[in-house]
Amino acid sequence: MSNNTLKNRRDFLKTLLAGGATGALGSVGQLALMREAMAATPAFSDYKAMVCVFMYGGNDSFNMLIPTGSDSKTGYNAYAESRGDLSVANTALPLGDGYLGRGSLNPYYDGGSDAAAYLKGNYPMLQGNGFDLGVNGVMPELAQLLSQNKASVVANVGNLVERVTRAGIKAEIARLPLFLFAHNHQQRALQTGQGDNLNDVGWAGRIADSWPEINNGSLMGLNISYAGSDRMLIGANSNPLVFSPGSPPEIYDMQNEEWSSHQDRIALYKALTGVSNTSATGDVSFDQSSTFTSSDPFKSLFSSASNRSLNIFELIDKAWNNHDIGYSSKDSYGNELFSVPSSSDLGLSGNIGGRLISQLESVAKMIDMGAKDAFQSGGYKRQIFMVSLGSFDTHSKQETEHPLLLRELSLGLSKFQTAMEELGHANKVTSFTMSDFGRTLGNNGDGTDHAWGAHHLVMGGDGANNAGNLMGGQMLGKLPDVTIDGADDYSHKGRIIPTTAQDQLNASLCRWFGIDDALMPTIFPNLGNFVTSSGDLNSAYLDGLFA
Amino acid sequence: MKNTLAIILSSALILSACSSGTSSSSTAIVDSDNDGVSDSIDNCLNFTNTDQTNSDDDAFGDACDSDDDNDGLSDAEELLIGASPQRSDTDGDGISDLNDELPQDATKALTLKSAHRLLLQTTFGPMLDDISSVQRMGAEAWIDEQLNKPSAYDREADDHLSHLQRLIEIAFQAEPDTNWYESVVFNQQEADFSVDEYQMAVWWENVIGLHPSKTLHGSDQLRQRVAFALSQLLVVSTSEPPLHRRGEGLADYYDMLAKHAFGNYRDLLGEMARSPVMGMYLSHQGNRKANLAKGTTPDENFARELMQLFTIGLYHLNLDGTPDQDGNSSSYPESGDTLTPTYNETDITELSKVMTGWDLAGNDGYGYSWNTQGDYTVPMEFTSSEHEDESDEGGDGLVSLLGTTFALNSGADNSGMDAALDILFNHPNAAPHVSKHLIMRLVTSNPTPAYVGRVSSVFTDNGRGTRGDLKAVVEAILLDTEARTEAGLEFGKVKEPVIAMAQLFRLMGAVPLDGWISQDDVTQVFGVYWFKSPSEDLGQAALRSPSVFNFYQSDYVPSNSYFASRGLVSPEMKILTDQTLLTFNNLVFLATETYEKNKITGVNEETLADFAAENSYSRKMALLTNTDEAIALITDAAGGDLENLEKYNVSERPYKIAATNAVINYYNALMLGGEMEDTFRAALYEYLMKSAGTNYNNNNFKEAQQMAKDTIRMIATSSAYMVQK
Repeated sequence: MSNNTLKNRRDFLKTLLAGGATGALGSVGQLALMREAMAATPAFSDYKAMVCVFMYGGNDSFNMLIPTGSDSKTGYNAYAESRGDLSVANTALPLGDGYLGRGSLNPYYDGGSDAAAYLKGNYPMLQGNGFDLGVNGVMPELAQLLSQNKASVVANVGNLVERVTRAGIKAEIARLPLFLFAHNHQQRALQTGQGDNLNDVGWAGRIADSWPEINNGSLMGLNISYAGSDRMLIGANSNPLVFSPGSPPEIYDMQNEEWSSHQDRIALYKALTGVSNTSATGDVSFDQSSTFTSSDPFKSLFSSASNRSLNIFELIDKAWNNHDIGYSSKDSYGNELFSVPSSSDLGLSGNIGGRLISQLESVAKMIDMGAKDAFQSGGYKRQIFMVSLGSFDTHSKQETEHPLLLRELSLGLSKFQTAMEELGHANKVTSFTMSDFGRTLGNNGDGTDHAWGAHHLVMGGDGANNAGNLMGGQMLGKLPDVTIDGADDYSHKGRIIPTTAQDQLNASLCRWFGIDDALMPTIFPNLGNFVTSSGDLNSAYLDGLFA
Repeated sequence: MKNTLAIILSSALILSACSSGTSSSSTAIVDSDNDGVSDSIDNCLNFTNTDQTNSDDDAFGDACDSDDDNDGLSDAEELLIGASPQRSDTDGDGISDLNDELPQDATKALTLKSAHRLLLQTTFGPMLDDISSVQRMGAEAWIDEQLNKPSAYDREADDHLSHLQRLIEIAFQAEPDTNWYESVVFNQQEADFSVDEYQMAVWWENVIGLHPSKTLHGSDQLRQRVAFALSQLLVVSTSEPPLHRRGEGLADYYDMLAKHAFGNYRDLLGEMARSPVMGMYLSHQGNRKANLAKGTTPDENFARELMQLFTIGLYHLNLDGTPDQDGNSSSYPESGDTLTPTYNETDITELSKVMTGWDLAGNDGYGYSWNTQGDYTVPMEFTSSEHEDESDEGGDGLVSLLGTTFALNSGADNSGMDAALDILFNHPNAAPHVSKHLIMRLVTSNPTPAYVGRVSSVFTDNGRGTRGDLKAVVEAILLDTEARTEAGLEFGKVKEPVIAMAQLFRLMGAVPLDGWISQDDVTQVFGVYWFKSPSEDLGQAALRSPSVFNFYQSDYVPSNSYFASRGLVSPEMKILTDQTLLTFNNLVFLATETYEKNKITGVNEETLADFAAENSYSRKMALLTNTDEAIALITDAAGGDLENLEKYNVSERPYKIAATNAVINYYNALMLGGEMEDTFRAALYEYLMKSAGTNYNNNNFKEAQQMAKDTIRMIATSSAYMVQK
């Protein structure tokens, strides 16, 4: 499909969405037209999923991945000088075989102090591959994943409209993203996939809009969030499913197929949300004339949401309960794969919340159900998930709070990867991190403030680095100058100017996911700003992210 | 609505009847209309009105006056609505005809619909008593009464306890063996997680407002509602340790919001900035001046969010809340969509210097922040030695904020805090920023710019030269024509789930379940509402948002073509996810069934004491609702005997029909202000009529209870209930 055709289709859609057609056609007619306009859903034969791990608050990735080299600008000394008391030691910690359970040596343990463990040292796992970057001591599983080629690092990624330099910023000629350093707007811009657009729908939402027939038109759609209803997965005409982790809830008093009173209530509920319905027992039946549809936009918004909620849980509850997964793999402590280790297991004084772990456990099950078509759509091929971990806004108490967050991130990623391997989906699933922004290299006494560029992680594949799969064990991008007031400092607090756009990273993932070249500019409109070879969109992708 | 009609009609009358009388220029006595009254003294030059009657004593006699009684309604319109053209208050109820929706009914000023709507905007849910008060008093008088209602903050020692006082009372009752005052500060050494849950219990008590003995608690519904709205602007949350263990701090913070709800926003900002809870939440507690040897500079957290979220926002606004693009906030509208940032990185670093030197009172060492340190119920203390003076960097001790320079040690406390707050409070943006937030929380998601502008101008000046008068702002919001006249399609909002739940508790007369078992597994607790972590099921709970950006952002556009194409927002839909819609539905079930008195005692035949003893602090909720009124109405409709509901020898089922209508009518009035649409009623009626008899094991009391329960549940989970117009 040419760009032009695509553009025309988008314009047509916009006209439709402008409301002119809504009244005349009704939602069903509108949907039909929409599908005609966008009848471009590719016929995928394989299953693939992307999993976004969003770290809300702005992860301090400079203490997650520590520069270990000797360069005076990008190396360890420059980092330690900028970070002061918050710098992680340049001490190589022994990783061993990755087992951390009873009888093993805990490499980061330091008297049970979270702060001491956090600053104790790092795993220079990538040095063998030529990258001077060490993994924080509290993330042994991440180090293991990197050394086994099941994860890679993308250095100094951030929200960009185009490449900018310190000189350009000082001269006030650089095109900067809107409202840098403000949490909500940076999250938003990363999720719209456009640093200069806070108002558009999300990039994953645009994919869902572009593939209306995905998964055989299943009610499940393309996008599922365990991270709340955030912009990334929201489309102009597609709405992510938003769940809480764990077994899906069952609705009280309105689900038992054998009880006519339950069936009657469901029928009434549907009649009151505008869906004509008849109870299975036939006790009550509502024809179109006695169903309640409101012309009020708020009421119809709420009705369609509550009707979908009922239907989706009807679908999922059955499938979920019939789909048992008993993992034989254990986690790094030798415990049940998705269990949450206690603080004594961890050798820390604080607890990890376990929220990310439980979300990833649910995603793992959803992926298995999707890949095996437990929802019986007859063709379940693509899914995008969003999970999150919060509290990364470590302005204070960073040395006691950040280690717990990194610990959970490391465990969560590793548990999820292990699950994907055991279930046979490792090469079908790519996970990646996002966060509001990075944090200042300078410290404020007991924490760090809002900044910009940050290192991010991509995880997946089976470690064999076979063609088409994630190429693990590497660092893409460029390590920044980490000196305060240095060449990559936005001003004078060590807010690092990114050298790779999050859009580039995400577009590279989406290309693997099956977005074709024609659709890509719709998903990432600014991607063309990052080409290194004029007019060649291919040069904007992160080469080598996938083998 | 009436105003517009009145103007149209009256101008028509003036044109036809009172055209110029100056056409004649004769010097003789002129009597143009020949009514015996000379033009020079005739109050109607072209109308024969010998008696010169002039009801309102204005320049025009009744004969040529389009509004005889000068009540703002034209004579023609008064005749249309059945009011007297000659009396400004036809029914003599103290409400002028203009403001009286029922001008011929001396017992009522407002219709049920209007009264109900006002209560949705001003309380945590309409009750029948309140509806009739509002109907009788009219909107203005009722709001005025609420604005001047006594609160917990008038006098220290009375029965109206503050959130903090009541929390301490509950803690002692629920855990009598705990040494709450191990230090002089309540809960300091204890730092118990349960205190956060007691804070939640107090919140519910003040929101539900139906405690059988603490009758004053929650009687100030509007104050509590505005406090909740403010808690979503000046956000703090248990998500930041150790606030999850220092619930007394949360209660005190909420008291601060409630105390200033009708006070001045500047005073509120001053207390908020010095609040230990805010200090801990946005980390200016323990913030220190720069130390070049250690390479540290002040923490920017509070400085940044104070500007972005609490006062001025990211870009310049007109008074009406639209982007200011011509550098004049009082001129609008303007075309284009250029956003001009209000502050830059330098303003942040300068303001971060101001926000140093503050720490918890009674802390063992400056900046300590673990669970058992300090006092969370008194303002933070200022330590000048930790306050930025720019000595390390060789600066002049002056900072510049948004172009205004002041000394870091300015002000009575030498902290520079008030100088900074004054600048932000007086910034033009503060008016629309605060006003629009309150409008969106109380009244409508998409206020017109004109509405925002009208309220902002009251924020700017309450009419007596005072800026930031929240009482005047709240009154302006609620009495605005946009809030009070017929709602258009784009007007209104989806209810916040926790408010929808509170409304349900109120309309079901929820009282504490006496005798549930406390933390210590022994103590029975009496008189305490228990619903400890509502956010699990509702996606929100007071002082428990996931971040300083609240439960939702004000610019949340739902994925819906009507909203998206018009740029309309519906923030509450962000948390009404697939999951919370279902879990809300299940909570409604708990409230209407599991914790409903008639179900427990009448259907399950269990004593309340036994039932309470099965409930412990670990339960999701423990309280007691009732359907008494509905069951009484059903019983009456059934001729006093519920057995009549299903008399099989009476095929027309007249009693069942009457009972079904009675229960629908009752909850229609209470829950929907009588606005249930016909198809909605038809569906509900069909269900209640057909789903009968055997569904209830032929137990007629159960049938009555289930009729009430299903009616409430189906209404409460419907769009008719969940959308506030």
